[in-house]
Amino acid sequence: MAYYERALQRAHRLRDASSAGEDRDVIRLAIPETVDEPCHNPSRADDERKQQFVQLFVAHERRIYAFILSLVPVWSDADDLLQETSAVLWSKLEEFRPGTDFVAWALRIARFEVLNYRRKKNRDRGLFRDDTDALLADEAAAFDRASDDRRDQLESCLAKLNERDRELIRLRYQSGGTTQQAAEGAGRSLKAVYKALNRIHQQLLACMKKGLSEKKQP
Amino acid sequence: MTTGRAEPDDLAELLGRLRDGLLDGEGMMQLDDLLASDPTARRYYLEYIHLYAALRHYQGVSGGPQGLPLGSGPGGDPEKGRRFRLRIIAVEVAAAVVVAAVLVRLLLPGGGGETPARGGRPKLAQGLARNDDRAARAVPKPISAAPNVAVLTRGVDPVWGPMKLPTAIGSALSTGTIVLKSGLIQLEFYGGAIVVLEGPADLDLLATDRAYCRQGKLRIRAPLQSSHFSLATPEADVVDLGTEFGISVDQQRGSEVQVFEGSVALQGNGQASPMGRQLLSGEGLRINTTGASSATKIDPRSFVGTQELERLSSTEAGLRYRAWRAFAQRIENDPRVIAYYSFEDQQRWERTLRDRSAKSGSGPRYDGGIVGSEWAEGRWPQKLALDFKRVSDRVRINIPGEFTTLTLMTWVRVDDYDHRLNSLLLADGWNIPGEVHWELNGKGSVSFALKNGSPPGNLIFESPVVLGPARLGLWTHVATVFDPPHGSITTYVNSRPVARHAVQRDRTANIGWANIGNWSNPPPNEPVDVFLRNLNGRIDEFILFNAALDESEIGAIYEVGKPNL
Repeated sequence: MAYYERALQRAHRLRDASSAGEDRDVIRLAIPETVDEPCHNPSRADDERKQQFVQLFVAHERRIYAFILSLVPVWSDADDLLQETSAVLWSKLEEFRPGTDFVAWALRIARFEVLNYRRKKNRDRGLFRDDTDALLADEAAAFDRASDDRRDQLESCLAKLNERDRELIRLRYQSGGTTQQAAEGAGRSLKAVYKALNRIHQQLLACMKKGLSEKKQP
Repeated sequence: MTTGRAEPDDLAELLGRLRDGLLDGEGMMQLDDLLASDPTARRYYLEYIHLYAALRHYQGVSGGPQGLPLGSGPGGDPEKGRRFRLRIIAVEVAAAVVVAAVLVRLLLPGGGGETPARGGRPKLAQGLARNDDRAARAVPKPISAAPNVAVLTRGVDPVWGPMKLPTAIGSALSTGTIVLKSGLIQLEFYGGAIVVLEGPADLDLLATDRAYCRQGKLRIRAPLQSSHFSLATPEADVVDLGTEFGISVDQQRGSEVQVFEGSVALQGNGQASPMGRQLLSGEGLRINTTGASSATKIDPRSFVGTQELERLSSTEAGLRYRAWRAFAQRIENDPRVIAYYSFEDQQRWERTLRDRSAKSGSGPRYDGGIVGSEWAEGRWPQKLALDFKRVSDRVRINIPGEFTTLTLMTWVRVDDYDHRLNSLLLADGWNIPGEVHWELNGKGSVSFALKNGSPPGNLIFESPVVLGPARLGLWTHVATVFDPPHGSITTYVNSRPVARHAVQRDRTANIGWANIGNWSNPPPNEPVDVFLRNLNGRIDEFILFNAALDESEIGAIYEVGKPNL
């Protein structure tokens, strides 16, 4: 109870201090608002820069997306975050120095968007804990650097799949596909397709790992 | 070394479910535990996620079956692989050009011609969706760029000096000066560095990766992927090279740098300073105010790090929570309380929101019925709250009576404004004279409205914008005092009066059947954009008084209840 008395006294003091000499009818805003900047009005001379940005973004979008997805493995939320990240990248384009590492810059901003999202989001559902998130963020950024090699490997490993498996992957991933649709497309049971997809993913990863280690030690 | 095939089955199973959106909360926790404890699992997880992202990306970009890297021809042909790849690259370039053209048209004012920049997006997006659904949705929307550089993410007993930057935990900070008399805070710079600052300290935030410290003790963790964080002191410039280091700056003793991990580049300012030298993990260096330097031993424990801060802040949260609990008993016993929802001592399965008011003797209890909303974490980790997210989420209450004075008070965390009006407490419908509507408009004003007997002239009192974008995601105390005997209606946000309006002395107010966080029985002619008023956010305390509380009482309640010092 002593706490309440203290808090009350302190509150009185604060009130007295803040209202001294102040016209009580004049209401001040308690909280400063961030002021929206007037609408960006770029000149035609910026066109080239924009085009450059769009090309960079599209070229590296997959890597940015994979990074976000590693931290927020919920597809719909990761999609939204990618969009938000692209908007922030766009708005902060002035800060990007051409010739420097676009992906490193983009991942930093993506990381920040993820942190923001984590703060806003209901922490009880579908999110990694803070320490896991921090570990993954560090490692996902490092992992990204091998991205181009992995992509080359993926292509050769896809080519090595048997036709039936490759068709299943195609059904599963063609625009907006789901495992359910893949099962319908292949005329097989959902359970069987789910299991087959698990196996094919593992197979692809093992093949890529093998290819990458062979590449390192020719 | 393990190979891909030796990965534990349960990880593969968890990832399969994750891939197909079938992972439930329990599965997520299992995955979390596994990733937190096992680096091999993390590596495999990242491989898996990248594989998924790559497959999804190829399929998206390439569109029809003929463009797929999987094709439909026989596998195993190395020539085939090469052709696939060329095709992918060609398609990507083509897609880039298409997207580029669309983006440039969308982004340039007047560049859209026949395509209005905003309204035109769905049409363009549909066209693109066939190529790449995600790229289409990733069209940047113009947003305002506030010059923020860091976020204040934690605090333990901070005592602030005079400063202009906001001090609420969770605030975004622009460039400016932090004056911390005592206590600990954590800053996360947009550039990626995480800084724990111990007072007394005086720190200028200069950019997303730069700060100047006149005084104080800092522990800085700058992960590899963050930009090089540089910290200047009166004696030296320190640039991290992917590292964790501590630095203390004292006006008498100069600066001391200790590197706990990785390395830093250090540039002295004085003539006798070591020029451009590098300090490695385990090394420490003191530079006194004359610029002379000497090696020192490192002592990581003397700098509070993020983990220690987490522990301390949860201890602090525990103390504040207990103080608030003790205080809540006073409110329960306050005879002026009509209903007190403390959102405490409830089980997570309970669907009744308990009215805790004691009401001397056997006064009525106004328990609420929880519809849809789920229990969640409140102002402190120990505190319960209700999460309002879906259009149907609400708490139903029925509070009879006509009130000559009324104080409405709540702790709310608004996550976003989904509608033009967003409910705190809305009497059902909008036709009984004296009915109360207490809500937030989509810009962040607090609105208190009374239904009038006969048109014209419903009484709508709106504050200035006080819960704007800067307050989203932050716990905020909102109170409105309806006080006709004194001719006023006053709204307080975090105990500060933000709006006062005149009201006729004979007005009365009533609530009856109502919703916390939503609206029922809107008039049938209500347009859709004002018809939906469900709150997007959390509430963890709600009090109704049949009296007009004054500023000092509201101040006291706020002081005890605020989430951080």
